[in-house]
Amino acid sequence: MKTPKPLLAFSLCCLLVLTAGAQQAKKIKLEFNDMKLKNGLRVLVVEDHSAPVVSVAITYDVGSRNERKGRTGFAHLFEHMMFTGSQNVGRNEYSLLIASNGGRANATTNENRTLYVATVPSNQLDMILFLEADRMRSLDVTQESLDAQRNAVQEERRREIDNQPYGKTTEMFQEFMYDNFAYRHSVFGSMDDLNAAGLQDVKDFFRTYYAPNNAVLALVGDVRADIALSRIKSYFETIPSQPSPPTVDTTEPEQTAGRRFAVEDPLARLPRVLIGYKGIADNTPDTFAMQVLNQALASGQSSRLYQRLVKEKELANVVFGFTNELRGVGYYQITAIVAPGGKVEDVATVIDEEIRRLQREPIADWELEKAKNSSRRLSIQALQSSLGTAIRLAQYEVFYNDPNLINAEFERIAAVTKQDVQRVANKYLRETTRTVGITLPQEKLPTPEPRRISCDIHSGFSSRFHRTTQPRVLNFYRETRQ
Amino acid sequence: MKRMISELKRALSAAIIVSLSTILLAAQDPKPSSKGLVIKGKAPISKEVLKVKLPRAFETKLGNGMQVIVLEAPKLPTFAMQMIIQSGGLTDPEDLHGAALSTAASLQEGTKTRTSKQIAEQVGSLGASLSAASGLSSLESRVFASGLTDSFDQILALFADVILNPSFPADELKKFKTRALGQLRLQRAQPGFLADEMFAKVMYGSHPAARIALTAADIQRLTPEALQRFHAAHYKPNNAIFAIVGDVKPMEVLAKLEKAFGSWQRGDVPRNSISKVSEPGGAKIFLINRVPSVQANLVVGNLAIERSDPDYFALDVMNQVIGGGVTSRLFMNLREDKGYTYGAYTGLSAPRYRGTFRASTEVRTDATKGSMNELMYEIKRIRDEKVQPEEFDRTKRTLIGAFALQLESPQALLNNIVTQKLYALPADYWDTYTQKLAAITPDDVQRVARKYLDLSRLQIVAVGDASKIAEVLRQFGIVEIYDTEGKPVRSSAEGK
Repeated sequence: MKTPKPLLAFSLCCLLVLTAGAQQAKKIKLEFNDMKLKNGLRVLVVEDHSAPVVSVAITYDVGSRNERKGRTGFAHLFEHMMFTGSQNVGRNEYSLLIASNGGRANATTNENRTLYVATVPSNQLDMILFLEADRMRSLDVTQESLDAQRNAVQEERRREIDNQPYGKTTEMFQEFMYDNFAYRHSVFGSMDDLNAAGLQDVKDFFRTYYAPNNAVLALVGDVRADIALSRIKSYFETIPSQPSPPTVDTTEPEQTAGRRFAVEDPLARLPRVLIGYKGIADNTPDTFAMQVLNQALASGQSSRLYQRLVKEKELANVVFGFTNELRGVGYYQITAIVAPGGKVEDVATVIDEEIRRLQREPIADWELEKAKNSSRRLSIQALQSSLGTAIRLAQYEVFYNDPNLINAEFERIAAVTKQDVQRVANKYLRETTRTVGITLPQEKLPTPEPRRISCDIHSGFSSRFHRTTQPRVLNFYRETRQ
Repeated sequence: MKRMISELKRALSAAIIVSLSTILLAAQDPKPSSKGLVIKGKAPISKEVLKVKLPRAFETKLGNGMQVIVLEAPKLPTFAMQMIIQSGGLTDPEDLHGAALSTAASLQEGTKTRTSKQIAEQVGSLGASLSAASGLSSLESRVFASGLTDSFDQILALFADVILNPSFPADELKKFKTRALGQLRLQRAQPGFLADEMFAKVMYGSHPAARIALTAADIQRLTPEALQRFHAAHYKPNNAIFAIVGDVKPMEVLAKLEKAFGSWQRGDVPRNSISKVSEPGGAKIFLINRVPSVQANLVVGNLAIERSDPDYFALDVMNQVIGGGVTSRLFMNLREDKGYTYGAYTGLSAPRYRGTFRASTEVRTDATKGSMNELMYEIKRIRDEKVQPEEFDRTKRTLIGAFALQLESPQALLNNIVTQKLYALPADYWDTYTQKLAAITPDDVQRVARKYLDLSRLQIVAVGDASKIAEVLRQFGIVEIYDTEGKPVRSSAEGK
């Protein structure tokens, strides 16, 4: 095949189609171009002429779930190595050129993927494509640059986990919940594993996972789509493809008994409760029903848990929920920080009561309305930034081979009924698939490590203790400018 | 689509052009290589002149003196609005710290016709956001609301109700105090908060800007009557700026504002009096003993300038050279060369009283000495050596580029306009912003570095395990040790 074949033929004439139907809310549809290069690189392009910028998101289909035992934290360490130079780009020259030519860039790693992002003035299209293609084609690593990034990543771990109240319990939670190694270790990884990583690991990982056929490039911005597509083709198409990386087994044995652990944390000042319900598949109708459920139960000041725990009973200072949509098997998590004078047991009891109420009765009309309006607003606002649009397109393509999901988010929420919410409450929020992680402030100082203790919050749980692990988003650097 | 284009054209026809030519054309000379930075110079760089246009906002005043700013951004059917009350924590009575902050935070906790819960549910069901905030060292209190344009009327009604008719119910204030006390405990567990709190204290002494969080005693003193009094005295239309950005029409907004706020009565407002900031004493090190910290949080800095100071642009460039980003000196030195940290940055604050210039980083405990050495080295270096042309030019390009990228965020553009009003900056401030940056020379930067980076008054704050870093820090000056509650720790060798 000589020419890239458009997989989806969309009109190039406009970016956003706004239709105002009678009595109907405005709908927005994002138009995009989709093609696959000869080497397997999938490309998505959107014209957006609202500002003179262009954003590029490259998502590699590799995250901490792809790591092997003994090399935890490596996907994230490797992400840092992508800034240390390639055949035609010197160490940190990438960052220097982006910044000094008016752009910004960063990268981030989680369980599911590694993402590289940049926004530049639209006249620097060639520069950003050259830089990204050069580091996809070749990597120039030295022991010195590996050691420097290992240090940076270890300090990132200390900053986010080891020196933070609740850091260790957050990390332990997912390891406690999962049996499959893919999700049972943290994105940060262990210090020992990071110390063990060598140059050969970097080279192997690059060859296996950083191949064009394992990546998606999304470009959104002030450039004609045909020009963008032909430039992308000329910079990227000669990068050789590689054999497909091994697939990840995310099969999770069915959990048959609740789990819990409690930890004394010398850095924490108030107790914290994490409750997780495992077993929610991603990108299914149930995922969206769980989002609606969360809107009613634990999202914002109008939510049931905020009103009861924080406002009425003053048992908690903070409470919120979300679904961590891991590819394969995800979980729904509730976080509550216990108020001064409050008791962990009382907070847990109220959460249980509210979950039983969701299982027993349909949610109110206004709660369903809240979920739908919030979702509609979020999916519209997400189109404001060219980079945000590029990130979502690339992710939907990498995860589900379906970038058009960006246009379907809201409709899938809108399709959720009260009965769906009641059904998923009964299906997923069960004691047998639950994991509870409790952090207790340690009053007596000092003990260098958090101490695991036994703590009876709910009887009937099987307890087990484990070593550490887990957080979510790691960046090449943290954002500092407002 | 047609509608979008015509909207866009209208916005642009009233726009001005900011030329980046001088900056973008600056040559990409081969750069000096250091360990952490290697330049191969092969990437294609456009020398094309990129012109950016700043959209103009619609501005007017209601009859009662309320200022109105409308910035049209028709790309998406959403909007974000805020009411800025030009009184904040700096206006707090001396015996009632937190009056402004608590008044703002309590606006949503009940009005004459709505309970706290009703407000939360109505905002929630619209998929909207409503919030309000002020700060202890702020000159403003702000109420924010945002949502979809098809629920504009309902959101505006809620927004106006909490601004005009808050009832400050006693039971809600009691609950607010409980939450605030809990919040205080959570903050004290954060090393970054402890460092910020101590740094503000040593920089500002008895000035109100020294306060970054309420104390338990402050919280206990709050009463519904005090909040009512603050609201009655300061929430006046002639003390307010309404600003909105989004898919809205100025005339339609104006008509709705007349309805919602037209009968709001003007009144005399006590003026903000900003007391003068006095220089802190001689250089000193303040160590907060946090056990078991595995890192040292280091903050070093000096008093800097007010926003209106003519040195602002030179200091902004200096800040970017030393530590504004990931290609600045601190990041390259402490992270990329030495491997001490995940990040090292500097920041310049320039409010309406004298702000600060500070460098900060979090380093593993055994790298405390090395990191202190490098921080001091970089501060001395910017004073002693003129920045070389290549580094200087690329730093300015970085700042100007960052400004241009704001064009993608209508909210950021609106914030610029509001900043210009609040700080009483010249009307053409943003139009000429890039020219003012472009005019700064290496001599300017060295001059302000020598003027403001005063080593004899440099204040250093460290948060970490004192048993491991106190001795190290003593090599850099006099060390005072505090506990995490901010109380001095008395021990044999800890002098003052």
